[in-house]
Amino acid sequence: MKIYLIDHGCKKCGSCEMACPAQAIYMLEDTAVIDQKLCRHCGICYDSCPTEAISVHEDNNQKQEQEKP
Amino acid sequence: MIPLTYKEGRIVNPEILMPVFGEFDVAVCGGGMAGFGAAIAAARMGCKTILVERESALGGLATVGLVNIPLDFLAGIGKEMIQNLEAMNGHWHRNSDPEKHKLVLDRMAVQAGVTLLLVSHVVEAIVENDVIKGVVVENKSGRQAILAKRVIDCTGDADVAHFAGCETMAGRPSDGKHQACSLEFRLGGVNWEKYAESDLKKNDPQWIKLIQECFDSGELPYMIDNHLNWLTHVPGRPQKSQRDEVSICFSHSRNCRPLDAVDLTRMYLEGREQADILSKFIKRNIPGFEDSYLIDTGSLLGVRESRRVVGEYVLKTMDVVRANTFEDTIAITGHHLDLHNPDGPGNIKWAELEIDGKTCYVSTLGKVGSWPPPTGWDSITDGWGRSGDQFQKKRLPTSIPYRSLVPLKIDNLLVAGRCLSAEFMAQACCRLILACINMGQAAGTATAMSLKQNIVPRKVDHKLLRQQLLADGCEIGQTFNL
Repeated sequence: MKIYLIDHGCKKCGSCEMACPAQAIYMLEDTAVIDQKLCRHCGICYDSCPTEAISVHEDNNQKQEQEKP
Repeated sequence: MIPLTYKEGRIVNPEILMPVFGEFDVAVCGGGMAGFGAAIAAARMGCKTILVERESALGGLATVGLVNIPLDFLAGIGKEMIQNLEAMNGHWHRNSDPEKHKLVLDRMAVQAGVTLLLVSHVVEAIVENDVIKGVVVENKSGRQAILAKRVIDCTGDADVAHFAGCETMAGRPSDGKHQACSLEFRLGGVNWEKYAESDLKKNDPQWIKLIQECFDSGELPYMIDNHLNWLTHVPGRPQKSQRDEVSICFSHSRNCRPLDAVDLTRMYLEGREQADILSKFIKRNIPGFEDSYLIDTGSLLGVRESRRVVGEYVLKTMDVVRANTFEDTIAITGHHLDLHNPDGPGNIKWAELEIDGKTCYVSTLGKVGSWPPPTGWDSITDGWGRSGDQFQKKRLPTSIPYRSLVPLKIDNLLVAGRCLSAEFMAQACCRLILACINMGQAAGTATAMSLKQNIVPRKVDHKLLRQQLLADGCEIGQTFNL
């Protein structure tokens, strides 16, 4: 299961917040935040971020490189 | 030729007899994202549709303008468009390839049976008894009339509405100034991995500190903008070989008059000079861009706001900050208050509003943007005048009502796109690429329905329109229970 975290480079554009089907993302003053209790690990937020500011991790806390087509 | 005859200080153009280019059910003026959405929607509902565009390709700023960042709700025709782009490796994480995008738009329009007329300017509206009958175009073939039962103004500048005599508004109410304009540019030879892993992207992702340092040292001749607005990673181009391509929104033209050809000319020259300065600044200072080079600048200036129609409803900034809903919502947008400073660098993400008799500085995001309100950051409130712990954190989308697409007075005319009927700061939220195509789809759908029922567009039943939009996969707030 992959863990998604809003990383550096968040521009608060709100794309992830709008795209999240679980409505698990909300905006703070300087970044978007994923509520991990609501997150369904679908990865739609990752696909929607235009500045590649979301990082993906394996749930044993190891970073994984995502290949883009 | 015409003779040189003066009258009242102007030169007389003798009466012109114009050939009729064609007669259509629907004439969509402007082939940007709004016009594209409107034309596809109308054509697919059986209307004989013409789409007139002054550039050489469809897509407006999204393609010709290199604004390859299709943000906002993905639904309906817009979603289909993005899926088509993805199928040809032209889209990832909300960044698009403007060149492939042009092809997708051409193909979808042709397939829908839309008559395309490119490199053609709409220069007048034909009106009889307050009913629009068509438009006048000028192109290489001369000055001609296009007759149409319905017209949709997607020019971005509300040109057709203006020609037809509709009431319009332009600029900030306090001083008439417009949002700053930006000319996009594209860089090649980028080492994307190096940039993505860099300390700069981690600690100063909008380059604010770096820009200030380079301005202080004199390396940047003037503060073009005080932050990087956005940066996209063009999909489908070579990667991991230090040949990535990146589009940059960083240029900033101030004190714009986007309805004045002389000032537009000024801004194109300025935009290209800024691209020259900035691409060199980027190459010298940004990790991963050491071998980068300027590929091109946009062929269309990024005008954010110019002229808006005054419609049956003027969307208010208060509607945005309180996420007000309407019984005739035809599209929603997730963008926040976003004013590109009209006369200086930076952006302003709050609006001054009267709430319960008090002057409040309202933001839906909080204490963000380049410039604080006059009374400081701590005076930022939400749409109800609350701050601190009570500040409304959960952001809700802005609803756009059908009545904001319907001009007053003139019948058989609708507008869609950035020229919708909205207050200055409200419009700032309603202009993103997918917001425009969503509005266009709504306008095209309503137009087709008005023809089928033989009624004027302003009389289209709101509930039936919304049902049709839902059936066509549009996002009109149902996901958010609005």
